[in-house]
Amino acid sequence: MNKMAMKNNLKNLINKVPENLWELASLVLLLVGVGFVFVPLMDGIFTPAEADMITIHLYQHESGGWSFEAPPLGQSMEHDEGSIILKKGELAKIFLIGGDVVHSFVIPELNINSGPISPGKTKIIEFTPDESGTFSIYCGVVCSPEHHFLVYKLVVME
Amino acid sequence: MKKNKKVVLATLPLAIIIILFVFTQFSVISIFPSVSAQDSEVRVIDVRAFQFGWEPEIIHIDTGEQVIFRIEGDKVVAHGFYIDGKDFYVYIPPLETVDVGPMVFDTPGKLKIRCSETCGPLHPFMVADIIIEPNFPYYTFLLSALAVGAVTVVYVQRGPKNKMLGVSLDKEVDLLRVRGIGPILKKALQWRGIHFALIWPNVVIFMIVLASGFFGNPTGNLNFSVGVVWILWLTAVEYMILFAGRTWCTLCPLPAFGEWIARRRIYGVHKLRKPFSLDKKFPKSLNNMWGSALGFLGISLVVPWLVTRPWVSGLLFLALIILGVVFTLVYTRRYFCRVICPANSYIGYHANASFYAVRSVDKSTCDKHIEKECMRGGPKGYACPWVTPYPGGLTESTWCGQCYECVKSCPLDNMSVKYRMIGKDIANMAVLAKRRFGMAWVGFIRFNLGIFYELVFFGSFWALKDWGNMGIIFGVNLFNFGVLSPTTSAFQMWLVWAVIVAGVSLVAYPAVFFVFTSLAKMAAGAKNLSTKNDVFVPFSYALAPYGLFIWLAFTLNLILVNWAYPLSRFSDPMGWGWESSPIIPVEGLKASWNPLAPELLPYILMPIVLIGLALAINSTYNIAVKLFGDQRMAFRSTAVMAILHTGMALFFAWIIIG
Repeated sequence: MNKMAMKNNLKNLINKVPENLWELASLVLLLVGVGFVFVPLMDGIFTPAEADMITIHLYQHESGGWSFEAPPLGQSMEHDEGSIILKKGELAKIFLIGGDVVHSFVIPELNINSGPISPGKTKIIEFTPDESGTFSIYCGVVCSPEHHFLVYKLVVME
Repeated sequence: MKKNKKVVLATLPLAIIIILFVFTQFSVISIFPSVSAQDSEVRVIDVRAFQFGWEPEIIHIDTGEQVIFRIEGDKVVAHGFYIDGKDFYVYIPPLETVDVGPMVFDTPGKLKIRCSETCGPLHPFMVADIIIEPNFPYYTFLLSALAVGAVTVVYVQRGPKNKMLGVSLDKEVDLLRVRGIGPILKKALQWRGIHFALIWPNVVIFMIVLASGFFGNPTGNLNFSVGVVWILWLTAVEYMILFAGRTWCTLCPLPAFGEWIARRRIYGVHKLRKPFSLDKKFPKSLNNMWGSALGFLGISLVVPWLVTRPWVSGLLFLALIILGVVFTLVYTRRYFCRVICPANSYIGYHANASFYAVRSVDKSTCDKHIEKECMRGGPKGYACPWVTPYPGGLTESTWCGQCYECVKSCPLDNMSVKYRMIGKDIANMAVLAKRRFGMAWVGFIRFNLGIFYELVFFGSFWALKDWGNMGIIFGVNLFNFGVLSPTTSAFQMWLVWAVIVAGVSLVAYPAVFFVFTSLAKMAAGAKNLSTKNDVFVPFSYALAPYGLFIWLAFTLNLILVNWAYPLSRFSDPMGWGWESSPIIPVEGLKASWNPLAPELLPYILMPIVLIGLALAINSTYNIAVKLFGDQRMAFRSTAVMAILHTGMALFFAWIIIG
């Protein structure tokens, strides 16, 4: 009798295990679905594509302006404050990402013009600043009524 | 012989459509040979591009005329110039004027100018019309709508018994007992993990929607939350309704979180009967369609923001999932779905016009079976979470969310999934629903908004879009939602929009419908019935198939033109210009915007609407037969209602090609 009960208990246990395993697997899968989807997406916003690159997301001014992500030398900046900081004589790589509408990246004094960059398209600009000073960065395509206020600074240090 | 005649009558509408379309395509070419380039002068058409439209809105061109489009660029942003069926995408820089042409249009009809360069949130809807005169296809469309209306009326005059367009409504296929896939399908539906397995991918997609909605690119079509939800999902749901009923509700992640918490289980059935929730009783007066219907209408009032601004979409989904969890923790069962979810109104309403339904195999078995696990829950499945009165006796799909708990819990294996002709249950259900005004108004709202959206989003009247949009040209995410602050005058124009949307679908069309039902009642000579209490709501059920087919047409238009946006969003959900996303590491999904057969769109959409028209007239007849109990009375009232239904098809023809 006792043996029988134990056998039944064992049988119940075996029957029960797969169900609880399913339950656990579902829960783990759910957490993976919720958390591990969110994280990489968030990660992509705040880190540049390559370590030595300055990444610029191009947006209309009212939509937050251009957002810069730069390695430690360059200063990270948002909206219309701050500037890109480069070292004189060192190769600079700027990774431009088309945001909401067509923009372009222009530094007239250094003769740099990316040409129009459509939303979702990217372009890499490489140049070596050979004089120090402060230069203005403009958007070369009228991108919004606030376009004329889209002015950023490029600082080239000695 | 008699049977043959009926088959001919049933296929006649389709034949007429095909003949008329073929006639248009060939005859016009032979009657009006295109004028050769030498003997016609080149006409210059000035077009101005702006956010979000073209001026002039409608351009009339003669067949064979040589034209050049002189496009004045926007003062603000760059646009793109594209004409349906022409193989060019011209970049229009701001503050510049670009000449496109010369070109010749050979086929009469209506083509659209579309913007091909993302120029802001409402970019996908920046449209103008080119009407190539003489617009013969338009007249053919009108004639074919009249012909389909007339032929269907003639068809019902012959008194088809319990049939829909020649197909018997008694025939049904039990999908779980079909040879081949039947047993596999049954095993899948009885497997407890199916629910979670189907919902999990959508949980992932939902998280991407939230992430991209709040933090992604502020411009809608570049953002997963808008590109995938309001283009791909919207279309998928409409086609799911037709072919698979409320299958979206099977897949929906919104109520699932709350349900899992309340059940204390994701996979299995908890042994304790008491759920982890307050388990309150839901107030009976609120337990109807009005909540969902008004929710859908409320969303429609801000739809130009919702479907173009990721932040607004994100907020809606966040609110819905919070409400979903809260409602389930208070009321346990799916009252969130039944009363709050705006999609419930239309998915439930149109599911009655689906080929697909969950039904009992044999109702008498259910009636004799006292335990009724489908209502009380059993060891293998929960009690019907949707609180349908009695799954075994289901004759209506409105409240059946297709969670398949009854298929799992039934110990007699008597619940199944059936495939049958559209509108099998409509007549029965309509006759019983004499005062379910909530359902009638879902029908009115959906039917009118389907037509209205086709006019607004793919029509050339940019002012309508601008009113709904409150004149705001910026995209919005979490970082700049303050931009959504309209000026007073823009807000006043939005009020006009709101009055149009709500007025047409809540008041004007129902009023017209009421007049027609009372005329139909008079024509039938049913003096003992009252229009308001007996005829109005039942007749409105004819809009279940008609409204569904209008939406099938509208969403097909949406996806055929804009398929590239949702597809690209799978590799670049946030709209940051990624080539492949960390979640779906597939490269090469990115496609540039490239509408599929846009010049043929009217020819694709109109037959869909005409099938809807024929279904609506035949449904009206089936309802009337049940209502009046007399074929002659039913036919006379159907003939009156057919005038209204055909009129709406004519209006739709005007929108897409007139």
